Amino acid sequence: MNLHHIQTSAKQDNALACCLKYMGKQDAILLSGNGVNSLLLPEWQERLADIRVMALKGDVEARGLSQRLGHYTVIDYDTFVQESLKHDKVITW
Amino acid sequence: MKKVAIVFRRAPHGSPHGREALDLALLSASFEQEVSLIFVDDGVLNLIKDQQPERVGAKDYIATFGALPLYDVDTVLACEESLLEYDLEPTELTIEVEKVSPSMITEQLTQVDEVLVF
Repeated sequence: MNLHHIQTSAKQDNALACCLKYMGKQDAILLSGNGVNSLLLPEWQERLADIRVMALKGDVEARGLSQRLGHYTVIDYDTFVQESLKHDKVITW
Repeated sequence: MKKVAIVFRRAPHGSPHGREALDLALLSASFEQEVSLIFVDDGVLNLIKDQQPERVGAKDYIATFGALPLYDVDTVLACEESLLEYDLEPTELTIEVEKVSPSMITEQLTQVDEVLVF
């Protein structure tokens, strides 16, 4: 079970698409930096619907997206560390 | 001995990622790590033969792919869908690769101890 870390916007970089193509069914995705912006786009909301997705709190708040992304799991750095320990490995795309 | 998978997902020469990925692969292999290379997405363009990176002032690391067997790097996978997308036939590639399905790549990413994406 892997945790996939995406730091770039899906509009700018193919990281999220690439990760989705090769990730396992049990894997989770952590969005940080401009990666959190992907959750604003209907196309990506749909493609991520059946996957466990988390977004980093600081990056969501910094971009004024707390309300808009309210229904997503938003985690702080401590939880990020816990999640990375819970998974076999972290893959940064 | 750790199993390390190195993923090439970007096209060559536009950024230093491909060269760095290959450097890391050879370095890891010379430190007795079990290295596998995985080419996906635009990364398959690294495999095209007869590249002349010097024409754009880039270093020719592509030629170095030929050294992989000397470093005992035997697992070189390329996504069949990505190859198909760019219409790349085995005869057009600079090294021999194993054409695999996306699910086999998922399997490889699960099996290894570390995955580094470039």
